[in-house]
Amino acid sequence: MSADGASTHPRLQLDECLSLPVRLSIVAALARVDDAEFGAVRDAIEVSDPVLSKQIRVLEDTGYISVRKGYVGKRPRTWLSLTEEGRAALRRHLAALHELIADL
Amino acid sequence: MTNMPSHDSHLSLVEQLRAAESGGSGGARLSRSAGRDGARYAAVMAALMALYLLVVAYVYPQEILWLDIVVTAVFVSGMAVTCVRYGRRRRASSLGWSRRYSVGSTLSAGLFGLGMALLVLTDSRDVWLWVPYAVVTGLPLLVAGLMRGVR
Repeated sequence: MSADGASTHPRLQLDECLSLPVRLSIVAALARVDDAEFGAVRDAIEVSDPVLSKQIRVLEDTGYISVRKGYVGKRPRTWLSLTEEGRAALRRHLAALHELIADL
Repeated sequence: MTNMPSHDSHLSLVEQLRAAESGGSGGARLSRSAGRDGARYAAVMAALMALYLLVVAYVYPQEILWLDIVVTAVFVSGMAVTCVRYGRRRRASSLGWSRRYSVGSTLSAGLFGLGMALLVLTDSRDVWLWVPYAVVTGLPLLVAGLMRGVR
């Protein structure tokens, strides 16, 4: 974005964090639910545990998803949910993608 | 946000869009399944609440202590087991579920409490009153389970 913040080209609305397809898949999947368990997201987007773990850390650091750990009986469970910031970023990113593709 | 996206080729943009679509459809499947589980759970809780109200209306006045204790234990443990099982099996919650469920269960609990108070205050046990009232008691929970959220 330009210094005066007035740039409107859709390319400038793309979110670097969401430019990686796997991260975009995670965020898009979480946009459809209130929250989801780690294993459910892994199955929904068909990735391995380590890949999902790694990308979740990045998305959590960016503030796009929140992670809640808990137990069900003795089994540890990790719950993921999209933050409002993440939801807004996804909306912006998708709008920019659609606009860019339409322009090409 | 970035000034110079590293993958701004057409192929990369299309790939991103496909990733978003496939993630979105995975999330939609998850949401549908969570919605079905939530609806089942809410329906069972609604039925237990409505039936328990009828038990209080028609079984308790017979003043058979062991029967009162047994049916209360059956309903309370039924609700507890349903709650725990749902919590254990839940893998996701559909959009707006927590808010819908809170509103539905609060309304149902309120109607249940009002029904209990009326049962204590009145001797009336008319079927035409209490059966529909029991159905109405469970209705908010049932509606909360059947509604689908959007954002």
